[in-house]
Amino acid sequence: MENVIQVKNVEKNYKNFRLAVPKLAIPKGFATALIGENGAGKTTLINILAGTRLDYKGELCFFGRYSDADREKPESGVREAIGYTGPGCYYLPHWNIKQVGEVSELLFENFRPERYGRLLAELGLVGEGNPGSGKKVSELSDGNRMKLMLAGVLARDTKLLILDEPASPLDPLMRDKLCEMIREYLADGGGERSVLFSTHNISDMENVTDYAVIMEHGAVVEQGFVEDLKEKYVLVKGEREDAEMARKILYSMTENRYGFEGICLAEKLDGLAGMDVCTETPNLFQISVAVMRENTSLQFH
Amino acid sequence: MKILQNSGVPIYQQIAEQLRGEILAGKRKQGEYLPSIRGLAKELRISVITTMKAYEQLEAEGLVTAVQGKGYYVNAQDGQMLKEQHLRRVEENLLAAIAAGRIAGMSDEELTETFGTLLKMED
Repeated sequence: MENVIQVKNVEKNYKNFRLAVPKLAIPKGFATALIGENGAGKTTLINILAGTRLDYKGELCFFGRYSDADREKPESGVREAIGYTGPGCYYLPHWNIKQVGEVSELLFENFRPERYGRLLAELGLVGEGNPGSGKKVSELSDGNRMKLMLAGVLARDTKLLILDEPASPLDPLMRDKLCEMIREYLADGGGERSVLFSTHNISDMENVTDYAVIMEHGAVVEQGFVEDLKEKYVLVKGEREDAEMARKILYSMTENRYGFEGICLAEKLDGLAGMDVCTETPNLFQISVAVMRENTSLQFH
Repeated sequence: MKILQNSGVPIYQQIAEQLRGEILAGKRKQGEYLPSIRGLAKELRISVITTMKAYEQLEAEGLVTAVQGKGYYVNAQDGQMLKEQHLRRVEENLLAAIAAGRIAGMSDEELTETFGTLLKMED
C-alpha cells in the first residue's frame, strides 16, 4: 500500500501542550478521518501537513518523494497538488464570490473557472445564470463560507485534499453532499487521489471513511483501516452480575442498573466465555468513543 | 445491488454475496471487469475500503483476479471449478452440522439418520 503523506518524528511544543507523532502514514487513494477530542491536536497536525504552520520539528514526505522543504519550492508542484480548507475562512471578507474565483485563478495554475462556476451552482451558492455571485464573503453564513471554500478547492486539479472540520458548519443534507463529493473526487482519481479530513461528526462521515486516525493529548492513540478496526474490536453487551468480571477483560466499558456495555479486543473475547453476553460489530463511532474514553482526562460517572 | 445498513450482515459481505451470485449464475462473464472499487463505492454510497474488502474476499475464493492498476476481472468458471466451489460449501456446512451434533452428543448413526430423513423430506 502506497502512502500520500508520511510523518516521521513530528513534534510541536506549546506552553501547555505537546504534539508528538513519531510515525504516521496516510494511505494513498483513500479517505482518512482524523478523530479526537477538542484540543487533541488535530488542527495542529493538519496545519503542519497542509503547510499553514511551518514551526515544527520532524520530517514529512508527500506523494512518496517530496520532503516538506520541497513542498515550499513552487517547482515541486506539491502545494499546487494539495487543496486545503480550514475552520476559518482564508478568503478576505470584502471579496465577493466572483472575485474569489478570479483570485484563485491568479494563485493556482490548476484552477478551472468553469468548474468553479458549476460547483457554485451545484452547491446552491449562486442561482441559475449566476445571480448572487456579487455576494461578499462577509455576508455568507458559516455553512455557505465552507461551501465556497469547498468549491474553491474542488475547482482545482489536485491530488490531495486536506480538510479541517469540513462537516461542522454544514447541515445534514449538505454533509451528505460533502460525502458524495469526496467519493466522486476519489473515484475520478482512480486511486491517485487521497483525502484527509478531521471531524467530530463521525457517524455522518463513517460511510466515506476508509482509514481512521484517532488522537488524544497530542498523540495518535489508534489508527487503521475501518474494516480492520471493526475486526479488532467487538461490541459486547451483558448482564449486571457479570459486570465486575467483564471489566477486567473489556477494553472500555459502561455500566448501568441492568447490565453493561463495552468494547472488547477481539483477541480477548475468549475471556468472556461462560458469561451471558451478546456481541455485535461496532461502528466507527463506537470504536472512536471507546478509544477516546480510554485515553481522555475527562471523567465519566 | 441492494445494501442493508442495519441487517447485522457486514456490508462487504453483502456485496461479495451478491457479486458471487451473479458470477456463479453466469451473469458476469469470464474476463469481464467488475466495477472499479471507487466507482462502486460512489454508486453504493459507502467507503472505498468496504468495496475493496468485498473484492478481496471474491479474489480469495478464486472467483476474480486482481490486476494491478486495472481492477478485478471474472475468472473462467468452468463446470469443474463451479462444482468444486459448491462442493466446498457443502463440506463446510456439513462440518458445521457435525460439530453441532457432537456438542449435542449425537452418535454417527443418529447424524446419518437425520441426514437421511432431511434428504427424504426434500423430495
